Amino acid sequence: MDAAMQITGSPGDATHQRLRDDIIFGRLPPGQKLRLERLRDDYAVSVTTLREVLGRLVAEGLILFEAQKGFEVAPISVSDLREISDMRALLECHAIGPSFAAGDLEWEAGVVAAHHKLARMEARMLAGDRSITATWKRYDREFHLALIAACGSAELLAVHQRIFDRFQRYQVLLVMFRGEGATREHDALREAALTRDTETARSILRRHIGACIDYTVAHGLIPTAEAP
Amino acid sequence: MTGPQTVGPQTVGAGIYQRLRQDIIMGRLRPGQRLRLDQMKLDYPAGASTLREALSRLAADGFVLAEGQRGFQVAPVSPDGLREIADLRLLIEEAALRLSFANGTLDWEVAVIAAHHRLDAHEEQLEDGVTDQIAEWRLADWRFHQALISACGSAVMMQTHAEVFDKYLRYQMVALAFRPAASRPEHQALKDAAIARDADAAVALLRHHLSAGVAQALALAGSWAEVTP
Repeated sequence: MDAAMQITGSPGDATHQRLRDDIIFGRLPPGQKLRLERLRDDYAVSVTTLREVLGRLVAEGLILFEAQKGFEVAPISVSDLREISDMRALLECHAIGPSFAAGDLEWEAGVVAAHHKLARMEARMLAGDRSITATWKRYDREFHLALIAACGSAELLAVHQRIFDRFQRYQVLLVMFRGEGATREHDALREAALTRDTETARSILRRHIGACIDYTVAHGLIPTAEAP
Repeated sequence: MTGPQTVGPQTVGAGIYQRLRQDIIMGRLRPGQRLRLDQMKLDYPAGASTLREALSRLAADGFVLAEGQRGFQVAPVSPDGLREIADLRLLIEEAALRLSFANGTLDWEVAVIAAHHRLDAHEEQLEDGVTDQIAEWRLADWRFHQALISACGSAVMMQTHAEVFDKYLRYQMVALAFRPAASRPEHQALKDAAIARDADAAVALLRHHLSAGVAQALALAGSWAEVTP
């Protein structure tokens, strides 16, 4: 989608991408008020463009709008993370079925390649190198996408993309690194993909996604008082 | 008229965007139709830059295709696209139904019954051959399905479902597929299953309801009337 957006090339598309990245990567923190005049100056776009961009981000769940209060970056809460995780699990666990069934050798190669890149980054993260956090997150996403890439439904992948954006924001904001547990799960997912073991992959994936919530709660990463 | 407006936040900044979106969903702007800014300025009360931004937002939603710098066209429809969107709707709605049936309170039951009552009145009219309120009927249909899953406890799920439902609805409108005589008893049975909290029965009904809707739209595919650019 990112590539497609660059092709369309309206000022709105470029601004959308910048704002989206700023929210996902925490440069605009949860709950921050977004004032049009300020954004217009910071992003150097017209108010017309901004309104459409903000509307798009509201639809994507990254920004909230309330009549009295205006726009703000969507706050974070344990319940919101749980809803997003559940939706991600629903989409991915389903998509693994048709993807494993239809995936050809090219697809296998894509999975293996994505896993290799991710495993390299995980090894560095485990060794304490946090300078590659953003790359690691990108490779994590690429690996999970590779697993479902042959599912044959562009509609599902489009919805998944939006949900993953929101999931990833939590991962970045909470600096979620579960260490060896997550690495082992990625290894097992790769094996399940190559042996086309759909049921095993689904149960690993459910655990893998659910573990993020357990980790968040166990480490008190989101103060529960802020949960709605 | 459908999901996003009821969900709320998507109305933001919306005037032209919402109108265009509705015109695409309701089939007034045909699949494949080229959208020329100079022509659209006459049909919609907005300047070129507002239209352009509304169209890029619709492109992000998948309702419009952007053709580089040359302009936009209404996203085409295809049998595969219909199957994909119906599968996705079933996946989400089935999961939401199960949660909703497990959590629903008495207020939820009341909302389901009220939404069904409104829908049933429209379908009765349609059976009698009164077809001047198709849009209102579709809205009532959307509200009924939304009511069924409204106790699922997940705003994320409700919003995602609303987006997918709108795309599904577009296919029904473009294909002019409607089957009130068949769907009326199906809706009745869905309502009864909700009150009885029989999620398995409701899921089976939904599967049938959707596959019949898809089959009818596919049978009418010859009349989808794509505007070839």
